[in-house]
Amino acid sequence: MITYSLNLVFRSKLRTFLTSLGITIAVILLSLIIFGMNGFKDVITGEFTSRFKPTEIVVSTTGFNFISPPSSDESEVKEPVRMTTEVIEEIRMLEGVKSIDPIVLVNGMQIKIKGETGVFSPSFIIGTDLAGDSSMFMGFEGDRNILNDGEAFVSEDIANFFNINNQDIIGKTVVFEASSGGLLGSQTKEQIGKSYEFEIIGVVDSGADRTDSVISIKEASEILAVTGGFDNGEEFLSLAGYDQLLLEANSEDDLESIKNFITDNYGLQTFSSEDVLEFLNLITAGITFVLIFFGLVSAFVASIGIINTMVMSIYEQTREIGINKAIGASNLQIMGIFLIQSGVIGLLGGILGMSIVFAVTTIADPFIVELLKEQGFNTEKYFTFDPITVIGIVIGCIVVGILAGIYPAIKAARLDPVKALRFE
Amino acid sequence: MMIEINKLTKKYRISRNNIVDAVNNLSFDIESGEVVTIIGPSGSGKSTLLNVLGGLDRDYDGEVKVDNKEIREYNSVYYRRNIVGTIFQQFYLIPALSVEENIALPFIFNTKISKKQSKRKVEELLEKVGLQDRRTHKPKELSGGQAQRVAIARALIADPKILLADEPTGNLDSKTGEEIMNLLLNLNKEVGTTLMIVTHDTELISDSQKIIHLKDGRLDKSKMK
Repeated sequence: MITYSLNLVFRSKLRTFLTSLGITIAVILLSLIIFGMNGFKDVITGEFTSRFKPTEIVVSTTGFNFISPPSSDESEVKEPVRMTTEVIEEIRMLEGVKSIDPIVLVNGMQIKIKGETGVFSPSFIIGTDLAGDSSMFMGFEGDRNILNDGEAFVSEDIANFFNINNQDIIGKTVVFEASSGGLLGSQTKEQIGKSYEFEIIGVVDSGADRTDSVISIKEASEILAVTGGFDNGEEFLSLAGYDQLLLEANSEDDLESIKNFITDNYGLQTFSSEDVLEFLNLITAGITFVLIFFGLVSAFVASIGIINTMVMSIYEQTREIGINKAIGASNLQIMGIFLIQSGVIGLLGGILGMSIVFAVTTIADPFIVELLKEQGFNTEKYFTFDPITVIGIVIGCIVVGILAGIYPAIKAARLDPVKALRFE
Repeated sequence: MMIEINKLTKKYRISRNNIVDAVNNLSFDIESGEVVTIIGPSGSGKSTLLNVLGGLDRDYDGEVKVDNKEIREYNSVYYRRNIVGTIFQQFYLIPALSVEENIALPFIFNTKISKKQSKRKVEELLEKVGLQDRRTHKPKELSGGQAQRVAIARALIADPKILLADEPTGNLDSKTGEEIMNLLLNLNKEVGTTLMIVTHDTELISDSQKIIHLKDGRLDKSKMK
């Protein structure tokens, strides 16, 4: 019966092909959504997990609202404290805290390299005493990974911007000047005419968070003290405090209690790898859900195409249905013949769609990877074909085909054999 | 007694107020293995009678018994599959299937028949109808006579007890028609199948053991043999 049904469906090859194209388009849409979103999630997750250990927590005064939306209940919101040296020492003493590395952000600076032309702006300069080869920085190149006074790391992006290779930029002098404006630029009276020079002792991968240069906390706080009108860096840190803390817990089991303590007692925002991954899952699931809805709409439209084709083929095969009934085909068998035909249309659409998706993604993958690398993401592959998903999609196409074939199949099975045999 | 028809009446509603009696109070018997010719002008009820006997039309009044059992008491699929075989005037072969596939078509739907059994039976029938050298041909590559032979082979594949032939020579020239009739009669003699032939060609009735004349859905007793 299967051979017979295949014979019927391939009798009108062009029509079968055109009908299956509807399914093909739905498959292309759905597959690109599913594999594209999986790739996006993998890239972001990979980038984050390579930079942060599962036992690390980032603490900040400013909220990570994109991860933990602020509570609408005013009573639950505690005014965040400034992350001063005193607060940091209190946190350091908490049970389960292994280490704390404070970070300050130096905004409003543009970057120059002495002896080179060009101005890099806007820039993201951080002050930290983290070693150059710590997990937060990737791809460190340099003879020494700890910054002394007057020394800085710069990112690979900076080296590329000034057309200098990583090894050659080491030893050169990086100059920070107050930005002359523009995006994220700011002018303060105290900074006008001032510049800060550092010897470059290492190069780090700028990463997706775009760290352009790293200097020690002490020197970053001195720059910020000038900007803010403080007497010195120490006063800045004791009054204004740090921007972020990179906290490492002894184990993942300690994370929750530390996070809760910091949030409840200091009103500070925290997030760990787990929070980010949960957030990513939520976001990608949300986007995927919306996009899949559109994909399903196209699958629905495709199924209407199949219904139309199958109803047309009932008219063409009416006499054959009559003959088959006359020679002993049951109603279920007549239904089966039509369901096999519509299922085959779905299968063809699925295979064709998956083949196109496979070809397109294979061609596009290197370009996407290159683009991501330019944006600081460290990935070798974007689209990953999961065989179970591929098989699932193809089976889904067969199911859509069969579902679309149910109405025509019932219509065919209910044909009166006498009328069907007389049909001209 | 093989077939017993008692007061068979079949009405068709042509429009809201127009009901036509296609067959009206028809009664006759047919013995097992008999060759019966049903003859009559167009609209006399021949095809309606065949549809009822073929198990295609179960909506009738009266009684039609085959082997002492009312047709409607048989499972309709079982009846069409095993009790009766039908040959149509227009052959009704499936254009996309080859000769041997067309002959084997009833067995596609009979899951109790293995491929091996089907193949053996097709071989046997190809030999009987003389189409061994046309087995892979498609219906459009056959002459009218050859196509009707295929239809006969298809009707016989399940060894039916009754073979119904609706104008089997209607679309054939007289020489080919005669050949087909001889084939049917030989098969009747050989296999012992009850053969009912519907025709309006009086030349074909000479070999019938029983001739049933129909007129306006009733027996035309004046012409009964």
